[in-house]
Amino acid sequence: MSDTAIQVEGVTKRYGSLDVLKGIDLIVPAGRFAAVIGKSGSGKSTLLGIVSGLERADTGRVVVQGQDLSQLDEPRMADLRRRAIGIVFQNFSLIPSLSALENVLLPTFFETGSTAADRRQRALSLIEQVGLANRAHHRPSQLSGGEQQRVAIARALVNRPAILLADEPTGNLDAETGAAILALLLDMSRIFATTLLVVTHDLDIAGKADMKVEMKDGRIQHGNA
Amino acid sequence: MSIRYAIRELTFRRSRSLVTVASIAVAVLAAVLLTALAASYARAVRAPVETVGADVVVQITGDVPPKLEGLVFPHPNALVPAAAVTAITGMPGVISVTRGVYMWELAPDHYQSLLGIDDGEVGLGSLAPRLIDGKALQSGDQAVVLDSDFASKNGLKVGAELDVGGAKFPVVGIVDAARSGKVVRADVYMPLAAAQRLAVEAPMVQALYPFHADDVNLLLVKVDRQYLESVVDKIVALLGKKGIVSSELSFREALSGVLFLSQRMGLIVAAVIGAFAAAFVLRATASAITERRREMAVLQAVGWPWRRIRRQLVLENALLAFIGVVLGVLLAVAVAAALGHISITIDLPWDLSSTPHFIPEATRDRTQTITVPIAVSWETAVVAAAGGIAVAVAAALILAAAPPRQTWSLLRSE
Repeated sequence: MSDTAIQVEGVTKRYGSLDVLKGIDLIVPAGRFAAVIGKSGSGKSTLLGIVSGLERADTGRVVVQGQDLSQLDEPRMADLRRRAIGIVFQNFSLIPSLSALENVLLPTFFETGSTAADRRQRALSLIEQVGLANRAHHRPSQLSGGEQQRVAIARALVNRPAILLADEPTGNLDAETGAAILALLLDMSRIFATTLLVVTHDLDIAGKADMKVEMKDGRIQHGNA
Repeated sequence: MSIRYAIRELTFRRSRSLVTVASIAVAVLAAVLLTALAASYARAVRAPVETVGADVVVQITGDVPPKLEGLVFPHPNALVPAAAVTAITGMPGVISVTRGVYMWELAPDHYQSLLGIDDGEVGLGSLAPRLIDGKALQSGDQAVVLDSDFASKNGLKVGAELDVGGAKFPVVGIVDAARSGKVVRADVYMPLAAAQRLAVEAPMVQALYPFHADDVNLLLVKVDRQYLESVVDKIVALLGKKGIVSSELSFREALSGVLFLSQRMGLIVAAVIGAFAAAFVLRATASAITERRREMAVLQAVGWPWRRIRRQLVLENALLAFIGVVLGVLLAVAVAAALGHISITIDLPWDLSSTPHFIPEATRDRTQTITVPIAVSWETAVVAAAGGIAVAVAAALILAAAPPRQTWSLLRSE
């Protein structure tokens, strides 16, 4: 396993006539907690999308867990995401028709080498770890915002990913719940030894990071490069 | 889990699912029921032809008598020469020839059509099964059997006497000829010999034809089916331009327009409804995909390859379509059972039921009412069901052919 979990080299991205990323270089070592901060429109969320493989860079190179994303077609990219990358979103992004447990099981659908019972046990264990043992069979609409984000964290970790990406994970929560979710995220990433890349405008979160990257107008202003 | 997820999704979006199921069910119901109705209609239209079987009805076009009074031969029923009868009887494939004399009796205050006919399966024997009162005629009888409509209109019953050509005939039976499906129909039936005697003594017959006691003006020819076409051709050649040779073939030709419509109209209407339903399913699928773009983006984010997401959409649409087609077929069976049967009244070619045009009941006398049950065709049901499922599956495959662009924009915080 390489010591570098995420490597971004000269990445640019343009939406129409707007240059969102203007040559980003970034390295996140394995097992570290990196925070990308910046104002709205600075390009930090676009950078996270490109690292997740859900967005393609116009130019430059992104290597995640030793895989050059530009070389991967859609099925292989999905495979990499399923095995190696967990993502937590600001708006939780749970499937409303499914229970908390079924949402957590979603990334395990195509897993081979384990039984359905094993997967279910793993999901239930994670749900218990995030403090929702008695809410496993509730639908998202029956859960609070904080509880939904806990489910989302459990879902992101169910396949034991090497990298956990979080896009404003506390943005839709009140301060107290947000602090609890951040603590959970940090605890879980430590327990699972994942690399954590968080995009946030919350300086308190950034203050807890091993490395802080500040973005402005599509460029990195401060941080490692 | 995929099926469970699909069921959860479909029950979660209950209204959309119900509307999609209903549209598929209505399309299948329409296709199956209209096809069943069309098939029943086509069977009803064919019924008179089937009663003709392999028979050929032979007539010759004649002249109009100087006076339309008393017993006359209708215009299409001129004397058939004895030589022609002999020639037809000897043709290969001819099983039997049943001879007849068909006449009108015209008076200022009444009209009746008469058919004197040989004994046998195609002649008097064909009336026996349709007897609703009295007894069947025998070849030597000097009596008549009446059509039930004619009898009721004139208040005649078994045991009454009927005046035909100035002679009195006892009524020995009543037959329901109108609903029998027979193409050659009359108000009054009698043995051939009796009719021949009346024709010999009828001035307006003798004014046109040298009709003798053993002559006829109508032949019902029973033919081996495989020789039907060649026998018809030979009779046409034998009788020339004045011959009227009616068979299943000519009947089919005369009714070809009605048959075509009955067979195709149900199909056309069902196809139109099917097209609307297909458009609706496409629209509903497109709208569901648009509505669920974010959900599909979430599935992509958690590592579902697009082909799996598309498979999930196909599964959901197939489940909806399956429920819709089952519902549609069950409804079609239920509606067909509730309707029970179809009754249609069809016009016979004038040559075969030559009621004078100046008789008020002429139209009624040239019609037959046929009733046949409505039966759902399982082949059609299977085709409609397969079509419904195929449309739903195709809609998902087409509309979710490729992953959407800008997935991240649906999920990102900014």
